[in-house]
Amino acid sequence: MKAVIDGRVFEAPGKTTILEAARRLGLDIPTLCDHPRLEPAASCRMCLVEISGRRDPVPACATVLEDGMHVATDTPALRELRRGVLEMILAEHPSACLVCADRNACREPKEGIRKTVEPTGCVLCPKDGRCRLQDTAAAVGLERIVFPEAPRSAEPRRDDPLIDRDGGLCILCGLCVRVCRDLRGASVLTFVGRGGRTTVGTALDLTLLESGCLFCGACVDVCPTGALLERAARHVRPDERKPLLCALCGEGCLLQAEFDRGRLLGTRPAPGPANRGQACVKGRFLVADILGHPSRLTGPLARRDGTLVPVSWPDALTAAAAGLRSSDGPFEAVGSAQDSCEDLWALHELGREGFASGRFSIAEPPSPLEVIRKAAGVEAGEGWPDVPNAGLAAMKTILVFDEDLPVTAPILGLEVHQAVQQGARLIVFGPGESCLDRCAKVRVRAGLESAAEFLLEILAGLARTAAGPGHPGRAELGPAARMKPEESSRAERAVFKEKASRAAVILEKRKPAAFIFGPRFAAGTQGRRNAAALWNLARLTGAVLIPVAWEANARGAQALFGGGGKNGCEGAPLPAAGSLLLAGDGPPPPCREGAFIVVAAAYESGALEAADVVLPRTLFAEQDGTWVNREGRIQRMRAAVPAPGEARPLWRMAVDLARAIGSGGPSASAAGEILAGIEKERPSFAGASRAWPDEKPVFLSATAVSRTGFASVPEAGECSAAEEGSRDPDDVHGLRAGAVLKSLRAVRRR
Amino acid sequence: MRLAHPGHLADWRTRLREEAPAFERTIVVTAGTCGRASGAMPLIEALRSEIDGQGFIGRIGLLITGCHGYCEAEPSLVVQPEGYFYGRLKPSDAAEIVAAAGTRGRFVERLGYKRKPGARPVRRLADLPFYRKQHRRLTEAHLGLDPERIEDYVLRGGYGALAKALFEMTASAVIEAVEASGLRGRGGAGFPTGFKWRIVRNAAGHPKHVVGNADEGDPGAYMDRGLLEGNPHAILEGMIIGAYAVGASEGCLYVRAEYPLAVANIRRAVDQARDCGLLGENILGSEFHFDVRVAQGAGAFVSGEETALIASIEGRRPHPRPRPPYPSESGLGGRPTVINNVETWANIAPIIDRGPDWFASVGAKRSRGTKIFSLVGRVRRTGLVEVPMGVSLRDIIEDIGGGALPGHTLKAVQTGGPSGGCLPAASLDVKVDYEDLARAGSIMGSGGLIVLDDRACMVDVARYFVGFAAEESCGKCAPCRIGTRRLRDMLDRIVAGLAEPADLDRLESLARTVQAASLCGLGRTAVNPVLSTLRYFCAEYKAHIEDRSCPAGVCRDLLSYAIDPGLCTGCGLCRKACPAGAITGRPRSPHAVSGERCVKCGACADACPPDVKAVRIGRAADGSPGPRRGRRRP
Ligand SMILES: Cc1cc2nc3c(=O)[nH]c(=O)nc-3n(C[C@H](O)[C@H](O)[C@H](O)COP(=O)(O)O)c2cc1C
Ligand code: SF4
Ligand code: SF4
Ligand code: SF4
Repeated sequence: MKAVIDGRVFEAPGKTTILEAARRLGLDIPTLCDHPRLEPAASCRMCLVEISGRRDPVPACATVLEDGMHVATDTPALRELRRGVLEMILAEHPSACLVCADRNACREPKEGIRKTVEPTGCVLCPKDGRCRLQDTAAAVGLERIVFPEAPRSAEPRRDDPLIDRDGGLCILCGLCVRVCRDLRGASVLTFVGRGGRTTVGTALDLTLLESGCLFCGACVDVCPTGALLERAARHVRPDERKPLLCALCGEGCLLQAEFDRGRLLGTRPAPGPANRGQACVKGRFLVADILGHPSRLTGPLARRDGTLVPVSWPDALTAAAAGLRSSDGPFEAVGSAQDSCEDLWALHELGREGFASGRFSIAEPPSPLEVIRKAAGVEAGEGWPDVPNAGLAAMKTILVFDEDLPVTAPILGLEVHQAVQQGARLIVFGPGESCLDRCAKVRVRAGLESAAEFLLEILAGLARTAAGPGHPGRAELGPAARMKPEESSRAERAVFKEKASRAAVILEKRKPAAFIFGPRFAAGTQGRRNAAALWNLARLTGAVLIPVAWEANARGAQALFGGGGKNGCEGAPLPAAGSLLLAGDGPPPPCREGAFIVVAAAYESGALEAADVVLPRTLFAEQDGTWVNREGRIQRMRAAVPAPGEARPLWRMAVDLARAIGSGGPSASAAGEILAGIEKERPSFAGASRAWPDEKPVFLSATAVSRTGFASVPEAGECSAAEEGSRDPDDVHGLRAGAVLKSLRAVRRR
Repeated sequence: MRLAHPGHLADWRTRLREEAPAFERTIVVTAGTCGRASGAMPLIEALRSEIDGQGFIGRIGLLITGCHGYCEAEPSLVVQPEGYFYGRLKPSDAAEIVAAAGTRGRFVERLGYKRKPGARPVRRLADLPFYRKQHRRLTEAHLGLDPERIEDYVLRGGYGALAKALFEMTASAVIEAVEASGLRGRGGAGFPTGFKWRIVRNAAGHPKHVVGNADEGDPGAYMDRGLLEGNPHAILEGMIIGAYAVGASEGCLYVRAEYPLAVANIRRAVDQARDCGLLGENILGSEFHFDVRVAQGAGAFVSGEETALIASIEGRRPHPRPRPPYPSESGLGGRPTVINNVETWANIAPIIDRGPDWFASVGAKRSRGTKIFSLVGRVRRTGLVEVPMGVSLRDIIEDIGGGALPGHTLKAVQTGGPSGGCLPAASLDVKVDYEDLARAGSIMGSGGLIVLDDRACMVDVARYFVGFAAEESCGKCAPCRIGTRRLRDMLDRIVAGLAEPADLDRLESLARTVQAASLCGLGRTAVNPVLSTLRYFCAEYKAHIEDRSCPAGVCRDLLSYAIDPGLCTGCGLCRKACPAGAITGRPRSPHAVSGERCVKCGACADACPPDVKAVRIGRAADGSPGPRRGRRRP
């Protein structure tokens, strides 16, 4: 395909829109309603271009470039047209910020004061200086305001957490409506009314909270004007921006941190490889709150006469080294699946080499991935075929088990929604409500203790229709399905069976399929039964398995140590530890009376009560480190935010402790050195030091899973009920963010 | 009754013919929405009880049909076989009509249609001036069938074309026939129908859809309603043939929700057709499967635009989207979709039945066949008229419509509804032909004809239509949403006498921007009323702006009311009529209007006895347009 745009030749294989092509040629066509991940709406009419031989100008965003086309993007007629349209848009929007002769003079003195004043379009507008409409006006060369201002009357709304809405500033570009509906699958925002009375609002004019808003902030980020705005970021003008990797869940979103004179103002999603410009409420609105929470520890503490008192770092290290060295009995280092690979590796080395009878473990229960590997008998050394986000688009069936994806894996959630929009059938199983419910073809409302029953019922259904040579027999697939009779009526069982058979029909007809499951599905002894049944169904249907863990580096921890949990650690089981370095935030392993305990913590918490020495640690954004996300994507990040007080990275503490103890153990002066060590010892991390964003995307190298047989599904009787985890997906290194942060509490409680 | 073989259809028709009751006379009453609104139902009741009471059961039949077009004369009836026509009836006339029909088909002179008071009545429907110049191919059938009965349609040869298409023609032969006929879309744009079908037939994607567009949101137009109410099966048959031609298996009829009778009739027709095996699996025993559902419109003018219509059927807000892709490549559910106006669909069966040459035998060069117009406004006879393409507007307005109302002169005709333009009386010789109308600055549109006389102010007319578009704009794209409002504001200022000469240029350039930059046809054509009035009636605009006067005496802000003391008899009627208390005067001495208080409602002029006519309507004093009732805002 070859075409000419503004006299320049554009050549590319495949389909591109005129807008894309022009941008690739470096031509600047003004737009107000386009978005790289949304279907073109062609509603702002700013990108009109001329094609020779056609009478009317066409929108560049929605017109596919054809071979031999001659396109002009910047003729006098087009300039006149664009100016005309922009003049019209500004008839509905306050425009003092564009035309007032004094606007530069009065910007400085007024900044920061009278923040509560309604925007009049001058510098009091909360988005002044960051507004795409201002930029467009400059690009188009608008110099006059022609029409009397006739703003659509719309009351500003401040009755939601985090987001303010002011319809008076809206230009109805529709981006927010489209991103909310088409990308996030939330359909909270919609157009209301028509003609001159059109506004953006919610159904029945409810608050966002009542309308099921996820507070993902996607709408705020696409809004070209100040009509949708983060409440905490009104009137701000960042002077510095840095990339930042979010480690508040396993998705690994790239964010952009904005600073004003060194102070972190907030974060917004950046076009990272995993998240492609999207994030969730935590990454979008709460990183600064979480990092800067008042309960952050800023200096080391040591126990003197029974109370913890502030001490200097050297004193704290000396005290910790002395205590660890002198305590008799084995040593245990406990990390968390939220920690970076370097942190975990350094702790692990300290346990392995610093002490004769040392060991290392991870505080969280085994990750769902680990559970299913165990159930299926996949060897610890083997890799796992991870599914990249982009792979979801090809799925024709998606089965989700009790994972509220918008909370626990938001990016996966939106990829699932996209797949469903492209025709994938969704089956949702679980007791709770989920915003995916409304697009589910089959919705099974049942507790996870019946998940294995459901799966076995599907298996039985598939076995009936697909029986043939080479097809597994009933015995191999697992014991006959049955729901607990005492808990379910006949009618309920009939519905259950009927849904399973519908799911079986879908799974049989529509391939490929993906099964998504999380910690609740895999928890406890019940989880092993569920996992075995799911494995068998995946074997039978060729489906891919997508385990979702809640911790940022669960995938990395699994790759490093074959999973979490007491069982996942190396070395023989030890008697209760005599000394402990506690960095994970789960319950401490059983200790002997009088054991010496060093706690590396970020927040004040109950765990400090037993501590002899407390070392303040940095969190994800404050240190260099490597995290592996759910996709198996290895992502390296540099510190972006200054650490609070004297907090230090965990790996450095491990190095310092090893030095202070004077034994073997980790030694490094930079996180990168530790990573190099990991690369040497763990083949799956090959190439990690060159991992994105440094050079290119690197995934955990997967060896094929050799085990392709069916797993044996334990009888229901053998299983105890899933242990009710006290964990919450919003926990951050001991901070119960879902309860502590007011806005997050409001969003989650709904 | 399920027809599982084409032969069954012919057998059924023969049987129906044999079993048809042999009435001596049939009284045909029109009971479309227009008839019902004028009292057709009580008339029918009265006729029924008279037939019963006078003992004519079995001898006089009663047929209740949809609209015949002559809405002006509703409620009306025709006595067949003589074709005697009676209009503007009251239930009390029933006895006489039944009695006359019963006595060898006598004509009731008293109730006949008279051209002038005192003239001899015209007896037969076909001789009425309203019908004489029409060429009624589609609407003729309305006279002879009960839209609630599929039997009536079959009896008149209905579904024969379908049988012919299915069993004697290949799908591409059907498309060729439609192409050869030269049929063009009746929904407005005049796109060649056969060509559209061919695109859909060749497009990849399954299942394909056909859609009947009966959203008909133009003010003052009701051609589609007439068809749906009068002969729903004709539309359905066309859609089934079209589906066969393009290989579609699903159909949808999108009917304006404000047409309850039409919705009921078409729903009933669909059910009947399904029961008869004319819809569903193996239609008439063939290999062809197709079914139709009826969807109700979303109550917005824009939902008639094809991409908005698709969104509406899919349950979304009716927002147009950019084309391409055209619905013929990606329509309902992303599948290739034929969207045609219901009048287009109604033309299909006759084309198949009687051949493309027959269809093309009337019409203009590039616009073949007949077209239904709804003739309304300031004209003597209003109603639905069907004429061959290529006749002139004058033929329609003067010969069929009878010209201007007595005492008035024709000023302009607005064609094509809010998307169309106003043509001056001097252009009445323009032919109704897609290209000719466009050249004259208007459009064919879906067939609305609004006649305006000397009492219409063209600036006000433009303002009305632009205001309609501003209200109906879906709000998606900026030029239409905002531009139409701004145009309306400018026109508001002109009619209020607040505009300056430079505003005319601004008006035109804004209109051109809206035209060029809007996303869909609504915005692109919404400026036609403005541009066409600017073109033909510029003097009138200038009068408003430069002289601050409204030549037609419509724009109140530019008027002043005064009482001629020489003529006033002091009767006091105007004083009583004035709602603002602006008129003073003692009985039997000349009264006077206080300019301060006058709200310019014109009540005094209406109240003043016709033989006195003392109220003078003049130009408001220059520069002081007088008090206004606040700013008019859209
Ligand atoms: C604002 C707008 C309103 C429309 N309304 C109607 C309508 O009410 N009925 C109709 O048949 N076509 C309407 N159309 C035209 C349709 O988009 C489409 O062109 C037509 O249904 C195609 O059928 P045809 O080829 O048989 O004319 C409208 C177009 C626009 C832009
Ligand atoms: S925050 Fe997210 S879910 Fe809420 S309205 Fe905006 S885009 Fe929709
Ligand atoms: S709120 Fe913002 S993003 Fe949404 S339509 Fe208005 S201007 Fe566009
Ligand atoms: S032209 Fe008007 S009706 Fe059409 S898309 Fe734009 S706003 Fe909507």
